[in-house]
Order: sequence, then C-alpha cells, then structure tokens
Amino acid sequence: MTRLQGMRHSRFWSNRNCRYGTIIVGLILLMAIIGPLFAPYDPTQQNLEQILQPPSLKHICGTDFYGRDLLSRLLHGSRISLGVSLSATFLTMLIGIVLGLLAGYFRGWLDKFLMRIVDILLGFPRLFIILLIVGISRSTLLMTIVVLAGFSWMEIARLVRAETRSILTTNYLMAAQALGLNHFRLIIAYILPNLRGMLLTSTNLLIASMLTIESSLSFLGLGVNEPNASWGTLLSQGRLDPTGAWWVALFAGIAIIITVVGFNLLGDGLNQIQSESRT
Amino acid sequence: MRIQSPGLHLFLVILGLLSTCQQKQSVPQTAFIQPNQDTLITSGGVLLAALNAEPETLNPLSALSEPARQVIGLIFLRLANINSDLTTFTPSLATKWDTLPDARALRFHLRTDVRWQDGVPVTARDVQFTFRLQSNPAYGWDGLPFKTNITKVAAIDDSTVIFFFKHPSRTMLMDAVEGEILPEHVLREMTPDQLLAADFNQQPVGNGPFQLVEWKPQQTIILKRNPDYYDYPRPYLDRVIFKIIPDNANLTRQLLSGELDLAENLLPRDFERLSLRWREGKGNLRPVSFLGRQYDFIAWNLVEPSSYRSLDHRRTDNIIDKLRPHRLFGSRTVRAALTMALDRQRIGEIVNGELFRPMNGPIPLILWAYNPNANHIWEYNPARARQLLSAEGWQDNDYDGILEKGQIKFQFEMLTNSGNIRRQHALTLIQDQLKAIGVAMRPRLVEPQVLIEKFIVPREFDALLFGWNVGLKMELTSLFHSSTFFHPFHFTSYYSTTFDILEDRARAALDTRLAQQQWDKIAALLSEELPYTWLYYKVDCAAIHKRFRNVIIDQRGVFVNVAEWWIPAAERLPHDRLFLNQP
Amino acid sequence: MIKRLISRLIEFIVVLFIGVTIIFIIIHLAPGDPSLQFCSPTAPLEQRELLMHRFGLDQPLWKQYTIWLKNAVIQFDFGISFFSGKQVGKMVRQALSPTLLLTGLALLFGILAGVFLGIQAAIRQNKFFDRFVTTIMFAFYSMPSFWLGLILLQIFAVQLNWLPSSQLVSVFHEQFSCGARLWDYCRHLILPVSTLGLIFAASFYRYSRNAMLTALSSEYILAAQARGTPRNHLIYRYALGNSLLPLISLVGTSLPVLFSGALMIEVVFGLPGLGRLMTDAVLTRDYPVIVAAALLSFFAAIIGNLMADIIYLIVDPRLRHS
Repeated sequence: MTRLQGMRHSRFWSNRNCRYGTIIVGLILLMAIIGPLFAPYDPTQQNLEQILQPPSLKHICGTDFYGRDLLSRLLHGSRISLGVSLSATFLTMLIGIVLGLLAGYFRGWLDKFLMRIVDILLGFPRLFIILLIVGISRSTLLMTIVVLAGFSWMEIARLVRAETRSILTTNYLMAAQALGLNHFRLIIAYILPNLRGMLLTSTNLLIASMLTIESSLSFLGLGVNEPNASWGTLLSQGRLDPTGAWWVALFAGIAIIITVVGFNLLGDGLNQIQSESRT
Repeated sequence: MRIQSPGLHLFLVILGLLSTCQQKQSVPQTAFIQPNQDTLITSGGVLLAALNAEPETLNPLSALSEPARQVIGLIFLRLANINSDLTTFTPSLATKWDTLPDARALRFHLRTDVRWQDGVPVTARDVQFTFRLQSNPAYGWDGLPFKTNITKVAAIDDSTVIFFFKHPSRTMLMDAVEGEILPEHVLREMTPDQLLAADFNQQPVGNGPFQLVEWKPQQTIILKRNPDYYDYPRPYLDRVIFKIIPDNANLTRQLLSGELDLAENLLPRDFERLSLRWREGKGNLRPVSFLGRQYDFIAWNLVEPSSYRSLDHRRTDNIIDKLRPHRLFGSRTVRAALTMALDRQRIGEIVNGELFRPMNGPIPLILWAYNPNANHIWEYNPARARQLLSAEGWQDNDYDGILEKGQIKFQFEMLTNSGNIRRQHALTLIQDQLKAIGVAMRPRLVEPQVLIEKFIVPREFDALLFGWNVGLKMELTSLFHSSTFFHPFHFTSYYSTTFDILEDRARAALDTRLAQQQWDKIAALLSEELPYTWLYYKVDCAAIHKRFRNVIIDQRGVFVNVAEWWIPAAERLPHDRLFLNQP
Repeated sequence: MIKRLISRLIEFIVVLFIGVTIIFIIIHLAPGDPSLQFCSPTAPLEQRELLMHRFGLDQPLWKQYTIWLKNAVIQFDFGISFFSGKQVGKMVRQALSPTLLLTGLALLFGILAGVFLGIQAAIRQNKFFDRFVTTIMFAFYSMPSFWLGLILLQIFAVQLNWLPSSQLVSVFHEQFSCGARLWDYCRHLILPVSTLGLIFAASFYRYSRNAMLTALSSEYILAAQARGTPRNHLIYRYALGNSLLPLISLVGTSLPVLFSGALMIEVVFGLPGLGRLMTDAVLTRDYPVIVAAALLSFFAAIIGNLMADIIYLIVDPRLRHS
C-alpha cells in the first residue's frame, strides 16, 4: 500500500512471498553451484553390490537401480535441471519478447501474421511432436530446451504484445513519438523499461513451470542421457518401481516441488509489488 | 512391441517343456496343477488375465502381435496342437492323420461335430479355403514360410483333407497344421483390401472354446464360454476377461490388489516380491517361471557402414573384397576384448533378477541342437581385455580416460529399441563396464520402426543391443549364411565360407548325431569369432491365482490349456458366481 | 460485434487448415514405415509395396493430401486406421468420451474448488485459513501431475486398498444394477479426477485469490465499504463480479485441455482416452488416426479461444462497442 517509490528494496524484502521465495531460490541456486562439490559419491559410479538400498546413513537418499548414490545424483542433477529450465526460459523470453514487440509495435500484417503463428502453435498437438522427436532423433539437452521454449514462447509473445499496445496509447509514448525517435530507440528506451515488471514476474513463473514440464518430458523419454540425470529423469525412473523403491522418485519429487514453489513465490511476490505500485 | 518378435520368423510354434533355471534361489517350477479327482471338476468361474497391449485385430490371418495371438488362440482351433515334448502333436480339429504312400502327402481326418459359432459346421472345405488365403502373399499372413513346401490342399469329403508337398521333409506335419482354420462361409467373398477393414477383425466368428462378447478399446476384451464347444463339458470357465494394461507398474498394482488372476512378463523385482509373499504363505498368487523364448545380444557391425552403402546389392560375388572392416569391430581381438570387459553374469542377474540363463553361443537353449560344452566361453576379465586392446594399438595416450589409436578414439554409439526396460538397463550397465576399460559407448534408444528402417536395414550402426525370439526349426541361415547376405537380419555382415559349409551340412543331415556334430562346430566357430556377444537367455515370469486347477504353463505360453482350467466350488470368489446361470 | 466474430471465425478456419496441413506433411515425411506393422522386415518387397498401395501411400503426397481433404471436408470421413482397420472417426469418438469425462469432471472440480477456496482465502487474507490453504495449493501447483497421481495411487489404491488402481469401470460393470454402476464409475474416477482436478484447482485458486484481493482493495469497494454496504453484499456482488472477468479467459484457454487428453494421467491410471490413442498412433505410424487426433486438438484450441472471445464480448460491455 505504500507509495514510496524510492523504497523498492525494502518493499521487496517486506513482501512475504518475495522474502521466502528469494531465500528458497537462493539456497537452491547455491546447491546447484557448490552442491556437487559436497556430493558424497561420484554420481555416475555404479556399485552393483549396493543396488536399490533404502535411505541410510551411508546413502542418505538411498541408491538407484545401478547402485548409484541418489543424493549425489540429486545434487548433480540440480545443475542440469536448473540449467535446462533457465536456458529454456531465456530462449522463451527472447523469442516471446522480440515477436511480441514486433507484433504489438508495428501492428498491421506483421501483427496478424505473427498472431496466426501463435494460434497455430497453441493448437499444435504437443504430444505428437514430442513423441516423434523422442522416436526419431537422439534426445539431447539442447533438444529438450528447444522443445520447452518452442511450446512456451507464445504466451509471452501475447502478453508483450498486449502490454506494448497499451503503452503505445499512453500520452507519454505519444510524446516520445512526436519527438521523431526511430522505432528501435523508441522500443529500447521507452517501451521495454515499462515491460520490466511484467517480464520479471513471468520469468520466475516460467522457470517454475519449465521444471515441471521438464519432468513430464522425461516421463515421455525426452531429456538427459544416461549416465547423467536431471531431477525429471530421476522422477520418471522411480515411476518404474513405485511399490518397491519409493525413495528413487520421492526425493527428486520433493526437490522439484521446493524449487518450483520458490520460483512461484518470487513471481507472485513481484507481481504483488507491481500491482501495488500501480494503484 | 513387435520388434521383440521378428526372430527366426517361425516364432509361433514353440517347443518344449523345460524346467526353470537352476539358480541359487529356489525359483518355483513350471506350474502343473492336477485336479484332485476328475469327478470333482466343477464348471463356472472367471479368469481375469492381463494383456500388455491392445490387439490390432482378432483375425488369425492378419494378427502379428503376441496379445492378438493369445486371444485368437482361445477363439479359433487348429488342426492339431503342439505338445510340450518338442515334436509331437495332439489332435484338435483333426482326429487323426496319416502319411500317404509316396511320402509327399498328409491326410487329415476331421471331427464332424465342430460348428462355427454361427451354427455352420466346420468342414474340410474350410481347411482348403484357409490354405488358399494363407498361401496368397496378398493377404500378408506372416506364417507363409511354413506353407512354401505345400503345393496343394484338397478336400476329399466333408471330413477328409489331403496336404500335398513338394518334397518329403521331417517338418511336414508341423507345416501343415500351422495356423488357425478360418470360416469359409464368412470370408469367401473378401478381397485382401476388404479383409483389412472387415468386421471379422473385430467380431471374429470362431470355433474354439471361447467366443468374443465385447471389446472395449484400450480397456477389456471379454470372452464367454462357447456353449456348443465340441469337447463338452469343456471349457469349465464361464468368462475369460482380458484387461489391456500396457504399464508395468499398473500391472503389478492390479495383481497385488486382486484385480487380476493371471499376468505374464512381470518385471523381475516384482516377481521376486511375489515369490517371497508366496513362500511366506501370504497372497493368493502362485509365481510361475519358465524358460522363455527370447535372448538378448550385442551385434557388432563388422564392416564400415559407408562401404556397405556403396555396395551393389544385386551382385553377390566377391562381396567381402568390396567391404572395408569396421574401424573398431572389424577386428576379432577387439570384439573378444569387449566381450571379456563385460560381466555378463552380473548384467544378466541385475537385468533379469536371477531369472536368466547365461548364453555363450548362437544356439538357443530350448532347441535340440543346444550343447553348452560346444561354445567357447569368454570369461569376465577386464585386465586381459585392456591387454588385448593395447596389443592392438588402442592406448590412452592423452590421459582422457578414452583409448585411441592414432587419430581414432575408441567411441561409438550402441543402439537399442525404446520401450524395453531390460535392454535399457543392460545398456546403462554395459556403458559403465566399457568405460572401465577406456571405451566410450553412448547409449541411444530408437523407436522400433525407425530402428529397423533407418539403422538395421541399411546397416548404419556401430553396435546394436537386440534380441531374438526363438523359432522351432534349427537354422542360422538368415543371420549368418552368406546366401542371405543382404537379408535385413544379416545386419552384422558376417561372412565366412567355413560357416556356410558347416551350416549347409548341418541342415541337410538326416541323421541327428551327424547334424549335432555340425551344430557343435558351428557353435564353436561363432562363439570364437563373435559377430554377436550373447548376453543372456530370458526366463519368463508369470503369476496365476491359486484357485485355478489343471493349469499348464510352459514355453508354449500361459494360455496353453485354458479350456481345461477349473475352479473348485469352495474356492470361488464372489465374481466367479456372477455368470453361473448364464449361457 | 457480429462482424468481428465472423472475421475471427474465418481467421480460425485458416489457422485450422494450415495447422492440419503442417501435421499431414510432417507425419508423412517423418521416418517410420506403417507397413512394417504388418509384415516383418524380412517379407518380400512386393508384400510391402502391396501394403503401401492399400494404404494409398504409393501416391504422391499432394495427391494423398487432396484425397484426404476431399473426404474429410465433404463426407466428414477421416479414413480407416492402418492399424486396426476401424473407421477413424469412430475411434476418435470412442476415445473422446472417457477423456471428456475425466478432464470435464476435473476441470469442473478445479474451477469450483479453486474459485471457492480462492474467494474464501482472499476474504480471510493472512488468517490461518488463508495461509494454510495457500501453502497446500502452492504445493499442488508445483507438482508434476503424474507424480501426484502415483502418490495418491500408492496411498489409496495400494496401501489402503479403498479404490481401484486403474481402468474406467470394473470388468463386471455390465452385471451391476443401475445404482451400482454409477458407484462403480465414481470409484474408478475419484483418483484420476482428483489428481487432475487438484492441479487445476491450484491454478484457479491462485488466480481467483489474486483477483479477489485486487478487487477488494480497489477504490470503489473501499468507497462502498465507507458507505456502509453490508460486507457479504460487498463481497459477493461487487468484488466477485469484477474478479470473475479475468477468470473467464482462464477457463476459455483451459478448454483445450478437455480434448488434448491427459496422457500422463491416462498412463498412470490405465484409462482409455485421446492421449493413449495419439501415443499408439504415433508409435505405429497410423497416419489417419494421427491427423484426425491432431485436427481435434487444433479444433479444441480454437473453440476455446473463440468461446473466451464470445464470453468476453457478452460480459464486458466496453468491448461491445469497439
């Protein structure tokens, strides 16, 4: 409710969602960066004497089907999972912002054309494409990232387009236009900064949803290759044997949920600050 | 999926009753549960069985998948059914048969009391008609190779039919009785095109112990007892209900919660858990394991894919001169080293949960020619493997953990088909064990169809983890004989005149002892030369509810004698009584 | 307004047309040979050619496409499945009903539970109820659906054995009396519907709670409050009406979910449906089924969009004149 624009930082911290979100995300990022250094075992080292051991002091999260230490795999997997989500989000934002700006700013046939592409892609049967890719090509991380981004940028493009159009109608921008600035400068200097809040929020929400979608893609067979593992692949490996080795899926699932909650909290909090500063 | 059964394409007639593996643990033996007394047999009851995929059709002529064949086997009859003793047959539609004097014709006498479910009697004309469809390639029946030796089938009268053959052979009876008999009055007018979309595929008109009641796609196939079945009072069960359950975890859950009576292809871990429960006296599911029909192996591509690509497939002379050996696997020493680097016993144990038999040579364990002593056995010895590779010039000079020879790194891709958990597991284990001797193998899963079309047929691969289903006839022609060099299953491009001579002799031999000698030499040769590295021979796992009596489960499958199964009245479950007074 | 709708409709038909054309081309050019389903790779070449001819795959792509288009548009005939030989239209319809049942119930549950809880939480902002429900909903929102499904299965089907673990109805469904049949449906649907429904509910919860909070803190509500309007009246008349607007577009955009099938839920719970139909069709390269299912997926997305547009036009008077 406060309108003190200069106190952004403290407002950020006093928002409960932002605070908890930042703490969780910070810890998770820390884990991804330095966690692997503390991994008790080599995450790809098979130990056929220690197959499917339940959690114990020796293996805190248990071991998997090949006797690999799940805690180590989880710690190393955090890099892959977060890496995939972050790069997919980056790619999504890049495509979404550029195309959204183009459509919203220039309107006309370009707008129509881009929006029809968005319509087509939104209706595109994703399952079909994913299954086809899994069946035909070698599943790689790059492929996962491209698929994730390819199916997500449309929402961002729509948002950016709508925002851009509404900014264009403001007096502030009309004045800038009257100054005769070229399109490029206008977009960079006047429109983009106004999108910042919205983009920041959606980035966080996107990262969160990328993590969940990545685990679903692993379920369908698209993801990291053995012997490496992301949280998603750990989760879907655990699915094979839910009645016996429950620990395989459990810890990866918890890791995903905590991370997703963290990013969602952050996104929600930012959204709240933004809408408060508007009123 | 179907990729698991392209095998030696005779995979329908499977022989033999063999007891299960003699591993350390006491794995329950083949179930063979006798009725207490014949007079006590009671009719009534329901069998809930699992199918691991939706049948594509219930038409015996176009069915390929295992689930389809299993259901069809209960709806349609054959002339005779194969016994568990590998060679003989039991009368079914035919009551007896004899060889005509010139030894090139078989005469079958048919039952006169069998009717199609629409009331029309089954006659010799149906048999004649069935052969006409089976032998016409346009209908695409996949058992066609059985019929190539048959020239003509003639119905003499309603109950007598004669099969004429090109030349005498030991497999005449097997060739003649292969395939279910089809109703002529239903299918007479159908062209191959019409048959593809015929109602018959979804609503088969059969003559067997059971009839189709309802087929709910992706859910259930419900069969009821055929009230006019010739072998009264069989079948004893009122209903056989197949539930279509593609997901393994789901299958296990349903077994444990009592929603299934019979399931096969259980995952080893689930099977072990079931066995444990059974031994503790808990649970109603009797675990049954039996020597299966499948084995897995690594196939090495012996020639460079590029040199195979440029080969003229119509010219079969001097093939070997035109091909370049594979950069890695062209050398027998390398193949031997890789084989020794693999702890195949452990791989088998982990992948199959002790339910497997080691396999060291080309001859399947259930076939008569199998002789465990004939194979050369490569013991697990990674140190020796490294020595061998190093002697061949493969050394890790740049200390990156991967061997190299000049500019070539020892790295390659090993393919397998997606959708097979065992092979995926095996691939991961192999990757780790090869890494230990400095060989970088990248696993890759490919959809079955694409694997065949893009990799196997054009031989565009380095190594392949694959499996065969075992057929009845002892032959290795289509895999290794130079006469089939361009055959899709000859994908290792193995070429050996020694092998050709041995195999020709083995197949031509009429004396079993002589044939055995040749097969032993072949086993020794191939297990020395290693076009394949054989991994393991699979033991199948099934479970069946204990209330069923008179159950036979062996290599022929779990549905061998369902018509004879019965449930004691005292052990009936509530749902067994649901259909008691219904036709 | 009518004119606007018609032009939208035309745009959608163009999108539909282009989309299906793309799918048609992709699937026909992708590697994988449908005839391999019916003959082993060792079969003579003539047999495969015969099959290709039977499926009409020996013709040039454009010709296959025009034939398909003609049949689909004029006779509403989508061909015959390569794999099962059944009418594709019938197969899709058969798979559609369980999918609609599952996703429809889940969506209904999601909307009702999500919106109701969202409003209640917003009214009690920062009270225990709000924090408790928000935390739980956040967890559901963050879960992969199949994981939640597996956990529910493990608890209710395996450990407690209260509910069946899979299939749409019990195999003895036909033998039951009318009431028992309904009960049978319910028992089988509880777990999959709640899995999917809880995840839907979580997103509706977030939206409706936020929308309600925004509405409650808006100036005209504050003004009304100052005027002494009764609190209930304030909440359910003013605030609710205003916060429902963004929800409608959310409902509209989630409509395609109804048709796309929830493959993972179908696999985990062994249910029939469009997701499995599509998966099987892709694996067996059953072109007619793939194209028909894809068409349905496009159609659903478009209908969802269109409905959201229409509802907006009806609800929001500002748009009616623009």
